[in-house]
Amino acid sequence: MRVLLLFIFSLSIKAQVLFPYTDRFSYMQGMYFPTPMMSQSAQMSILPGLYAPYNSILSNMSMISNNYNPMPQVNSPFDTDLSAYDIQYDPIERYQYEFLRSQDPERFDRAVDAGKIITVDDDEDVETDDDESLTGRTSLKVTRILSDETLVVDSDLHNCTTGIGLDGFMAPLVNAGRRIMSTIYQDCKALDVLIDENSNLNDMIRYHTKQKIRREGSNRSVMSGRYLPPDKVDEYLNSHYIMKNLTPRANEKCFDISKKPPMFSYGGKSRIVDGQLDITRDQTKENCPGNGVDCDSHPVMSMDCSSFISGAFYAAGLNVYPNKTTGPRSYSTRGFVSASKDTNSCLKNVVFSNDSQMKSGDIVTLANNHVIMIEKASSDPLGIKKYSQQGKSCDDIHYSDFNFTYIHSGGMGSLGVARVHSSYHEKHRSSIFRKLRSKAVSACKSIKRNERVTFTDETFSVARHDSQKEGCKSEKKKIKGEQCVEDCSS
Amino acid sequence: MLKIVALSFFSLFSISVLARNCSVPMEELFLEVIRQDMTGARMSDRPKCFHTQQFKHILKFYDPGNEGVRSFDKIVDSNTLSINSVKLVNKDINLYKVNFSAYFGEDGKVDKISDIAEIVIHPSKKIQKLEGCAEMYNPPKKIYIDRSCVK
Repeated sequence: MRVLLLFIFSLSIKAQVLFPYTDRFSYMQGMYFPTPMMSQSAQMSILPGLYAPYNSILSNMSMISNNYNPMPQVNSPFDTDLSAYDIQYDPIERYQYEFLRSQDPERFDRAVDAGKIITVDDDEDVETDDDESLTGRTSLKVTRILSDETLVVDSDLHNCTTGIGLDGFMAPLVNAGRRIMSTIYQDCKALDVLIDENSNLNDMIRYHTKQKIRREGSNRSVMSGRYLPPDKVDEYLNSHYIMKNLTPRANEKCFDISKKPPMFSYGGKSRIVDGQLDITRDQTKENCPGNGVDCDSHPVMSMDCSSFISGAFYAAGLNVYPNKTTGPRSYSTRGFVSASKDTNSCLKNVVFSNDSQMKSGDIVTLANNHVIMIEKASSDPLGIKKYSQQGKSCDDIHYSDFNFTYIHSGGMGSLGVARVHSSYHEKHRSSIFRKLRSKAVSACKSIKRNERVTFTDETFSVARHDSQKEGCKSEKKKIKGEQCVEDCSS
Repeated sequence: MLKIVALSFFSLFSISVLARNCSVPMEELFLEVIRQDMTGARMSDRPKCFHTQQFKHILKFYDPGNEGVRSFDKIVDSNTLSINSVKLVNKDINLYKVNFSAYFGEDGKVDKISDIAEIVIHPSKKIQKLEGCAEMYNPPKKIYIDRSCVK
């Protein structure tokens, strides 16, 4: 009997050792996929046609579902009587409604009274101010939020720059990032690809060439530059994790990306031409000789992490410093950290407390390393709330407790511009995520002491654009080539 | 019965293999973290020695960053690595500022570098198991590479 007990005990310990991610299951339970263990991208590749209408909403829902789920549980698009229209639109609007209301119920009610937010009950038709008829939907209390401009009037209700919800679910800065992403791939479908823990980027073909690096006082260092052999373009496109799902096309609206495929490079920069953000420049011509792309490479489009984020600021019409237009070359990672520490800038440090966490539109920067933009965040994106509760140890916070997506331009598999779920970093460590985890542990302990903290130090920041500050907001700018994807950016 | 006992022993053996022993002097952990950084962990071009060198208490970690090409600044002899001083700078995350030195030699001249690394020690068993006993928080200002990596 003792032996049997010992056996059971040892097995239980072994199970804990081998499967430490007990939270993973609860996360997966909330996913809106018929097969919980299958990644979104994997499902899309199996059933691209069937899933196509649901892709954007599925990616949105997967973020919300873990900690906050006001929507009806839909295990599969096929075992529900809701129409495609309901699935595609209503849950987001519902979420927006709930999110806005939770931020400031009084102001929310005032906005409803003033007609700035319209709620629609089942089976009720309502004519809105913008002449759009809203029809009641099956078994849902439908809400409809008017344009962001309407709510900007009552802007304290919600931070329109960084919050979830007013501009097609995403903060305007994120919206701009997604506009850039869909433009560089010339396809809305690029936005449906989410890199997560199941994504295998090892199959991507990476091309390098040895280049001498010009270093003062030293001529011995050599370095791999990015290089796309002219005869390997198809091979590259077919192995690229995002582009392999896309069909290059050329028509009056779109250009053929196979002529100048996107590829990550160090120092790749976009520019401003006639007021538009031009991300299409050939880096082999413009940036040669220099870091990143080899001079003899097939033409490629490219932008590095800070150029992508700076470009998003430009496209969104947001300034990093008041009355100074932020261009795609304006800020390096160090520049973003400096600006977030400068009280004169339009960036403010995100405060972490019981009721304040990282959210959509926040910029996470590690100087001289990387900068990313939070695309969507759950209500507890870093696990801080969970572990700041009594009986939990903040030191146990792990990447598997993170729950958010981000958008960036990075060297991850030479991918370039991509959307990534935090779960990818359970297996793939990076300095910026290591720092984020340590900061989360620190914030968790501070919250236990009822303190409010920021993450900013000499080299790291989590910052938020302050659109309320004078001179920090201007007009949205166009992106060259955006006409191809103008219907999909939100 | 024998099978059950054997299985139990196997289970316990698995635990001991998977669990990392972090009960070592902190200095040993600091040296490992700095030595790993000297295998080209931050260089854009990953040297072969990054793959060949093994570390007992920490996870292998490679991150060349996404902004700019990174090469090494100095070739050092990591066997001469020594720790000059250690200061606890954040007790919430067990963050230590570690001042270290190592010798480097070029053209017959031998000299000494000194730099600072900020290193986190993980107290949580769960994190030790998943992430190792310690990790680099703020790397040294310069990138040093061990002599054995540039042969």
